[in-house]
Amino acid sequence: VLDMLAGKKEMYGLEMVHASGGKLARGTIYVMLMRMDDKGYVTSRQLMEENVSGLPKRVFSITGLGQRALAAARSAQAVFGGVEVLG
Amino acid sequence: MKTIFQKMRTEISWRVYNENTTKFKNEPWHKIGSIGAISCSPPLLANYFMQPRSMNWPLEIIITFALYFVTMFAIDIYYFAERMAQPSVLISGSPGSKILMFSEFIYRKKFYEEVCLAIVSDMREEYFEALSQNRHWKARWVRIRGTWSFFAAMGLDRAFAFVSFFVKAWKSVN
Repeated sequence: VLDMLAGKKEMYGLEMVHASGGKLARGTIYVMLMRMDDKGYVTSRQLMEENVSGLPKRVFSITGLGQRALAAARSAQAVFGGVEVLG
Repeated sequence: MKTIFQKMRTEISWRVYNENTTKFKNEPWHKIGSIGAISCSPPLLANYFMQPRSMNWPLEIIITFALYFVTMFAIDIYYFAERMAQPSVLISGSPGSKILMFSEFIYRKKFYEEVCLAIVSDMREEYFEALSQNRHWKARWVRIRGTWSFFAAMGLDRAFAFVSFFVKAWKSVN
């Protein structure tokens, strides 16, 4: 999720589900995003498009803390990604 | 659960019955028939009570009333079938409106705004996109999937709450 958000400025849940190619589910994405929002990795706002009726969309963007967490996760992946588990 | 289904069934059948009987009662021949039945019944009943009782009279009355109700029911079915055969406009609420009502009442504001509203908003987007492409079966499927997504989110939220409660309890003990 953070990887996708780092690439784009703002995304909403359904956009992320489509972009993930089936890895993310519609039912779980928003709960995950809410928890990431609680931890400060992402921030969200309601987007009310003009001339479009209906409910507002909630768009998410990555924060500085989220970018640091993503960088840490990437470096950890780079270090441990090549490790093969024996046994 | 049984009572909910019973209520739904009763409501649907009552609506169908009401619509059809209203239409049925507006027919002129029905009014003539009703006036005839009402005017004929007092003399028939008076005759029944004044005559010495026999075994045939009650049976005749039962058969007459049974025939009357069967005919009424057959006419109702005829009008119902006629109405179903005609192209009709179905007006229904937007998908997720009941979910929003329910969740606004049950959940805290943050969960409602960040999860429930967002899920329903996505569901509606996909739903109306499918309808605009005239793909009604896909729209139905989106509706079902959206409802399932909502319940999955509910379950996941409860699971997270359950785990975080135990983590907090463990930290407070140690």
